[in-house]
Amino acid sequence: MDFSTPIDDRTLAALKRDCRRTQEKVYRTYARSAWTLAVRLSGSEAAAWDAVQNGFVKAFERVAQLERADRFGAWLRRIVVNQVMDAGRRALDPLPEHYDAGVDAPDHDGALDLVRAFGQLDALDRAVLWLHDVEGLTHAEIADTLARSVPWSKTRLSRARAKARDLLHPHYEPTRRALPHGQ
Amino acid sequence: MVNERMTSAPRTDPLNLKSLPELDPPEGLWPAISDEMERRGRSTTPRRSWVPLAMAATVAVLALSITLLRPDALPEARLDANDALLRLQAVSAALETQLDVYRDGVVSATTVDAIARMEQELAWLDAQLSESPDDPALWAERIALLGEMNQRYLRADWRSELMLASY
Repeated sequence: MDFSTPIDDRTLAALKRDCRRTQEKVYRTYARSAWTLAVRLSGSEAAAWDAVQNGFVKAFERVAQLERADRFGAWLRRIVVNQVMDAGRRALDPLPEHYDAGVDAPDHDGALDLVRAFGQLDALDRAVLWLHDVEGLTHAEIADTLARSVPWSKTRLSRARAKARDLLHPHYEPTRRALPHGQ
Repeated sequence: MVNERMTSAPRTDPLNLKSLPELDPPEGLWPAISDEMERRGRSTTPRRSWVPLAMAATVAVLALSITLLRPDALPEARLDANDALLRLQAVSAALETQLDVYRDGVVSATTVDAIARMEQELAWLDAQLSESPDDPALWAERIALLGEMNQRYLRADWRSELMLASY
């Protein structure tokens, strides 16, 4: 299950009543996606722990603001992303100098290279690339999530891709193709 | 003209982030979130005093354990009922009977807060059931909640006994 998994109206109503059992059920629904997102964006399990914990707590506390149950996942994802980015800003170290490529890194060499290359990007590049390529967000949604503009998102994505490819394989030149998420 | 750079390039795009596996969150993450929610909730809800009643706790724990293990513990209605709804209602009634024993028992301040929230949830469910008395999902939810409340009291009583035994 990922962030696109909806919750129903009854579940949202129970969350608004601060029902702990429902909160746990909702946590179990989104925990893997939230954890993966936070680890990939922050590059550290300690930072991911804080981001996911604070993200769920904030989501449960502010759930009264949410009107549509089917938007819960997207709303939670936005909160977790903001938690990761805020923590980076607070640490005055937005660059991933301490990115732990070994965090849950797969055994496969190619995948490990990919994790390492991804970790060498800066925090915003990682966020834009991950949100676009893995989470499937459009540039408009990325701009909204990160409080930036659509042109900024497009430029950042292009630059992040080029950097990551260069880190992965300095001699690789991708063939041009239509992007799956244009706007 | 042969592009020298392309000759050494891989055939597929190596920047395939979707190929990375999803990661399992640590076991302790939900308890940490739950504890934080409890802590924040406690700071905004009134507290009740903690009164240790070791004898009552012991009796309640024994009564619950013995009763839950008896196959004929459920009300008579359950034995005659063939449909799922009557069975759900019977189980719900049995669990509520057990809960009544615990409601006079020993609980810590932490448990009081959690129980108070569950009592509110129970009241909401009962309001829903008064409008939709034949909704099996609501009855199932009520059973799950009553079961959790019983367990919560049970755990609280064991903690109380251990605390008193340490004196």
